Amino acid sequence: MKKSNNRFAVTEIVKMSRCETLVQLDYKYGKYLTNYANQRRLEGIKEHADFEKEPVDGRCFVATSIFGFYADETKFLRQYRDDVLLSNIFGRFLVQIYYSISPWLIKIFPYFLLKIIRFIVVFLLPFLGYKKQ
Amino acid sequence: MIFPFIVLFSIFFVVLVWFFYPRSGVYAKEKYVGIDFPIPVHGKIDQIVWSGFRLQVQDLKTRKINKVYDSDVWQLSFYRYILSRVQKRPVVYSGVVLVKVGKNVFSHVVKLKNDKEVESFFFQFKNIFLGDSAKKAPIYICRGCGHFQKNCGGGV
Repeated sequence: MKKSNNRFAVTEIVKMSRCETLVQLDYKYGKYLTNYANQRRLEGIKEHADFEKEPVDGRCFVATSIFGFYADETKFLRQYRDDVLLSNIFGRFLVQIYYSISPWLIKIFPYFLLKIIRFIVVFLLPFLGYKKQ
Repeated sequence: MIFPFIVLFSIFFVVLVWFFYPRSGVYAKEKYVGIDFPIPVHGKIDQIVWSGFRLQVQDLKTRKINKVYDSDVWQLSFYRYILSRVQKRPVVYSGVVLVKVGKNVFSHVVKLKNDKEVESFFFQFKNIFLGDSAKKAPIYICRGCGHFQKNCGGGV
């Protein structure tokens, strides 16, 4: 059982929601890991290390802040930027302007204004071809 | 004579705070948190997101299927419980489980347990851990742990 300064690890506690006997047996006989479980554990550690190193996309500022980094809406807007806007000169120009002013907008805009922008973007997204899954 | 300077300085200070006040975005990654009271628990939160006014906890899971389990909700609830006591900022009663299946990442927003439920879960764990509830029949029995067919009575 992992203990640090007499504190119990959360990952050990939540095991109880899967199997109460496992908690008792881990305490009594020590921790047993099957080969498959150990392999998955190592994969998970690697994924977490990659996730920690993963740079936070400094662009798509407004969309990321109102929807979230992994949200479907943000993904769709990134896809739309790459496929539609960056394919012509006017679109590239618009994207350049957006990237130059959006970091400032995020800092200046209050929270409620971002909520209003979210409402407007959600209204406009179906017109760009977005379908909610 | 000093009054206009005070007013100007106040305005400048307010603008400065307003400008550098953290807006929405990733607040911290792989952050270690722990408390001793009321329950001694510690853990490492994968990602904390600042939504403008409140913090939200997020956890990354690598799985073969896109599914959220009950243990994920409990884990995030514990993290929320600790974070609300460590940080002065408010923490929202919802979390995000990021399930990574292959190269795709799916996000699931889950409603978290309240503080009383978290505390009672911890004391239940402590009772089992200390062996007080060893005679009681377990509610959950898994079929895939390392103790299976050795010491575990489950799956017979």
